[in-house]
Amino acid sequence: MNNFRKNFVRGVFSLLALSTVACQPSYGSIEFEPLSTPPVAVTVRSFLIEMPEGVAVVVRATPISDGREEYESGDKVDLYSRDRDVMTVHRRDHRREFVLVGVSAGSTCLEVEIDGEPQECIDVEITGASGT
Amino acid sequence: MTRSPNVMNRFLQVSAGVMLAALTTVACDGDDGPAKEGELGVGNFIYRCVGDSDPFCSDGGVADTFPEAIAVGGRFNLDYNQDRDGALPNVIPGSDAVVMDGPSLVLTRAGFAVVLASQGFGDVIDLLHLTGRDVTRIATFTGDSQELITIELEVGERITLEGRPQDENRTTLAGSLDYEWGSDNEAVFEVASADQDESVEVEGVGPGTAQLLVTAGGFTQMIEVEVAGGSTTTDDGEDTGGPETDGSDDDGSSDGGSTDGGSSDGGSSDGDSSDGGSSEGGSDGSGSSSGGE
Repeated sequence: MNNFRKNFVRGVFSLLALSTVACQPSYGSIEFEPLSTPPVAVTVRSFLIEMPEGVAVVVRATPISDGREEYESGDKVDLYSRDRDVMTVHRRDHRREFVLVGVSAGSTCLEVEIDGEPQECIDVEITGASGT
Repeated sequence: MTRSPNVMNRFLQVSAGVMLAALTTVACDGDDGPAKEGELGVGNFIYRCVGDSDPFCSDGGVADTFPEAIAVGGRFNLDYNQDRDGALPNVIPGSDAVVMDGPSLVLTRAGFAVVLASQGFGDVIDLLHLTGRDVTRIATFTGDSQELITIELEVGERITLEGRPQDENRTTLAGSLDYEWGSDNEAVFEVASADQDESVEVEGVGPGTAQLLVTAGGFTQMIEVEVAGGSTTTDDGEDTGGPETDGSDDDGSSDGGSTDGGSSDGGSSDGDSSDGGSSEGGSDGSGSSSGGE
């Protein structure tokens, strides 16, 4: 009887632990919504960011879960440029809004962190100065 | 009975106050300078000239309009005012296409250059793209805003010119640049005064043609200067030409050797003045802004 009780309790805890993990969103990608209109066309997609040097775009970044659980608004999103000589990222006072600035021509990637956990690095291409 | 004029005065005062307030509100966009709304619509960027040589601030240091384009290398300033309450944001370069030069901003290359209005812990609240263009010509103007293709002077005449940096589309570019002015033949004309400024005084020295050289923003423009020796014109209209260095008169007209400078009235074309050929004539500045043309 005692063994049954022990096993039962273990089973319940295991199920709880499993359900806790299963309730976590699973990172799939990040969606960018442009909030500004740059003077030239830029590409801001979940797998590629492309813009000329000297140009900036303001985006809202929304993480997309590929599991059944979605990210909540309280989940913290951070974006970092791996090479600040090529692209810089500036925060806005609104959560999940960022200013992406093409600094000089080159390639780098944009690191995505959710709640402090690195998720992926999105390719970034900064092209030479655009004609005005 | 006696209150009526007071009431009227009070009404006029209040009306004037309201109108002033309304005007101030409208002008507040620029806060005594031309403003352009930030791309996030939070507030306005205000253009400020630095120094005297910015062609957008010829009138008392305040620009009339927000520049369409700024010369590469030109110095300027931007302020930011926002519609909502809060501390004044800083305007900072967004990329190395625009850099700080002391308290001023300078564009380092042609193309777009983004500036950011930031506040608090560096949070960006607004941004603006500026357009930088290379100087590809320097237009030369007189006081009457007539662009000069060729400058025509009389000997001894002094004229004030103003250079304006332009791009290939002849759009005048904003920003303060350092100017260098020079003559390629000082026997024909001299640069009488220049202080790395956009304006210069040139003075006809002797008959002939020479080039005025002006450099700004890494570009050098040459403008032809034709100096006519008015007093050397003979009866048949033929100009004997050539600068006279010995001060002697070859035809009896008193064109050379004048040393008093007092007759440098510039623009004299009747041929009977005694001002020609004076190399120091006009040092008193008389006639210096006659405009020539």
